Amino acid sequence: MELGLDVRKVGSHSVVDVKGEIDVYTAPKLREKLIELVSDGSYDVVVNLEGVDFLDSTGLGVLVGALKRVKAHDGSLALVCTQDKILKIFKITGLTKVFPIHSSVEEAAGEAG
Amino acid sequence: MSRVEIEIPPNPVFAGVARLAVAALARSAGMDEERVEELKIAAGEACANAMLANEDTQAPVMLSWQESAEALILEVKDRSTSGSSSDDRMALSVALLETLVDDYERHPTDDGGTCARLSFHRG
Repeated sequence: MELGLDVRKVGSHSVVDVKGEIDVYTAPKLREKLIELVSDGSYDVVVNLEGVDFLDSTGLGVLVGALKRVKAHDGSLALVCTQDKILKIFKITGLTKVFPIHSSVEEAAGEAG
Repeated sequence: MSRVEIEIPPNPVFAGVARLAVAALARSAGMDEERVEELKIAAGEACANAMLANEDTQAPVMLSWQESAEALILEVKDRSTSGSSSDDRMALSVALLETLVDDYERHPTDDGGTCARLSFHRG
C-alpha cells in the first residue's frame, strides 16, 4: 500500500496532504518528507489527515518527532482531521493536548501562523 | 473452540495484510463494524510491535485467532526476549492496546519469545 504525500503552500505554511494508511510500513516515508521540509526551511507545517484511512503509533511517533523539529526552529505543526476514527487515536493517546487539531486546512494555516 | 494460525514475515509491508486478515476473521465471527475498526487498530499495534521486535532475527511473527462463546482472542508472538523497546512509540502503542482491547496482556513464551494476548468479549 502506497502513501500519497503532496506538498503545497498556503500562505506562509507548508501543507502536506496525506492519503492512505500511515502504519509501520508507510510512516518512514512521512518522516522523510517532514524532515525534508524542515531541512528546506519550512518551519510552519500543516499535516492534512483528511485522506488518511488508518493511523498507528508509528505514525503518531513521526508526527511527534516532526513537532519537536519545528519547535526547535520556533515553528509550528498543526493537524487537520475531522474523522472520528482518527481523532479517537489522538484522544486515547492524549495527543489532542499536544497538537492543535483543526477542521480545515485554511483554519490550520490561519491559526498556526 | 475454532482456531486459525497465520505466519507472517517480520517485514512491515505485510502489516496491512495482517490487519485485513484479522478484520475478516472478526467479521465472520459476527463482530460489529465499530468493534472491527478498533480491533484493526489494536491488531495493527500488536503486529507492528512484534515485527519491530523480530527485525534483527528476521523470525516470522505468529498470529493465532481463537473464537469461543465468550470471547474472540488474538495472540501475536514474537521471538524477542527483551519484550519490546521502551521508546515514545511503544508508550503510545500500549496506550492504544490497553484502551481498545477488553483484556490485554503480554507474557514470555516457552520458546523464549513474547506473546501479546488481545481478548475481545462477545456481546
